[in-house]
Amino acid sequence: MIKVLLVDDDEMVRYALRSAFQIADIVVVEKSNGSFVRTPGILEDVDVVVTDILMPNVEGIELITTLNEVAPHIPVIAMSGGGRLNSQDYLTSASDLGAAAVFSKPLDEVKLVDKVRELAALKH
Amino acid sequence: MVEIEAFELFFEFTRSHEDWQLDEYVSVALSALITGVLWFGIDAHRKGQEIARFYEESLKNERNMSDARRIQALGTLAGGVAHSGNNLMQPILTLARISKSQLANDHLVQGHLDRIIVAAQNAGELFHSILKFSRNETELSQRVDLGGLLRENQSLLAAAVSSNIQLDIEISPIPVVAQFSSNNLLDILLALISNSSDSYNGEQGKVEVISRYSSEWSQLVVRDYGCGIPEKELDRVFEPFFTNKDVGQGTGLGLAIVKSLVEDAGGHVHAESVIGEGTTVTVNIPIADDPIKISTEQKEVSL
Repeated sequence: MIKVLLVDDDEMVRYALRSAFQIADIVVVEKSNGSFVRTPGILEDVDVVVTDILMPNVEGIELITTLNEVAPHIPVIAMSGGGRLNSQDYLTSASDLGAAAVFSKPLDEVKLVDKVRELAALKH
Repeated sequence: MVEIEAFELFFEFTRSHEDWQLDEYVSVALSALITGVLWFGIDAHRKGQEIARFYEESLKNERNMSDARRIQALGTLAGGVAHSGNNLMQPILTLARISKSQLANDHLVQGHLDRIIVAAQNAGELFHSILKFSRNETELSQRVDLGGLLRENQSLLAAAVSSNIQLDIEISPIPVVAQFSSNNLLDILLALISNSSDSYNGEQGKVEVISRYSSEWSQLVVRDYGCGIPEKELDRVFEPFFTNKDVGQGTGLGLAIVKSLVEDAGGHVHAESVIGEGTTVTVNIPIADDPIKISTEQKEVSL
C-alpha cells in the first residue's frame, strides 16, 4: 500500500486530494504546514510527499530543502496556485531544488495519482 | 481738446527752444521706458507660459503616478485573487470529477457535474489571465527612481538590518531612474541588505547602500565588511536553494529570486567577496528610456 504525506494549508484542497488518493487505494497522512518535518517518526513508511509551496510557518520550499536533508530517499511533488511571484517561478525553483514533479493548481488529480504511483514504484 | 492742448504743449517744448541736449535726454529716457515696458511685457508673458507649462507637467506626472499606483495596487490584488482562486478551484474540480466517476454513467446528476466542471475550468482560465495581467502590466513596464525609493523606505530598510548594524545609504545627487518595478526593487534591496546584515554573525558592523549611474546602467550597490563568501561558493550564491544559513533561517531562494527578477528586466547582478573583508553585490538595471514618468510608490496592498 502506498502512503502519501499531503501538506497544504487549505483544508478543502486537502479534503479533495485525500478523497482522490483514497479512491486510488493510497493511504494519506495530512499536515497543514511543514513544521512537522523534524518530528521523529513522522516520515516513517511515507512513500511520497505532496506539498503546497506557499504556506504559513514553514513554506513548501523550505520543507523541500529540509526533506532533502533529513529524508533524501522520499520523493517530493510540489504544487502551487501562483501568487506573490508567478507560480511558475516557484515551481521552477522547486524543480531545481529536486522536487520530483511539479503541478500548477488547479491540478488534475488523476495525473497526480499516476505520478505518486510512478514515484512510489521507482522507490521500491 | 485736451489731447490737442497736450500735443501743443509738447510741440512748444520741443520746437520753441534750442536746448537740444535736454531733448536728447528726454528721448533717450522715453525710448528706454518704452523698451523697458516692452521687455517686461514679453518676459512676463514668457514666464507665465513657463509656469503654466510647469504646472501642467506636474499635474500630468501626478496623474501618471496615481495611475501607476492604482495599476500596481490592482496588480497585487489581482495576483492574490488569482492565487486564492486557483486554490478554490481545486476542490470544486476534483470533487466534481470524483463524484462523476462514482455515479452511474446515465445518472441524472452527470450532466450537472459536467457543467460544474466546465464552469470551474472557465474560472481557472480567468484566474490565469488575471495572474498574467498582474505580472505584465504592473511589473514589467514600470520606472523607478532609485534614490527616491531609498529615501522613502529608509525606515523599512533600517528595520531589515539587526540592531548591531549601521545602515549607510548614499544616494546619487541626480535621480537614477531605472526601468523596473519599485516593488521588486524593494524586495531585492531587502534581500541583499538582510544578507549583508547576517554576514556579521551578530557582531557590530556597517552595511552600505549606493545608488548611481554606471556607464549604461542604473546601479544599486550593497556592500558589507562582514565574513565574506569563499571563492568557490561565490559562483553558486545565485543558484536556487544555495544557502549557508541554518535551516529555518533562510530558504536559499533570496538571491536566486534577485537574479531572476533583475535578468527578467534585462539587467544583471554580480557579487565580489573577500573572506574576512566583506562582500559587494552590484545590481545593474537598464536605465529608463523616458525618465519623466517615475514611479516610486511602495507596496500598498499586501495579501
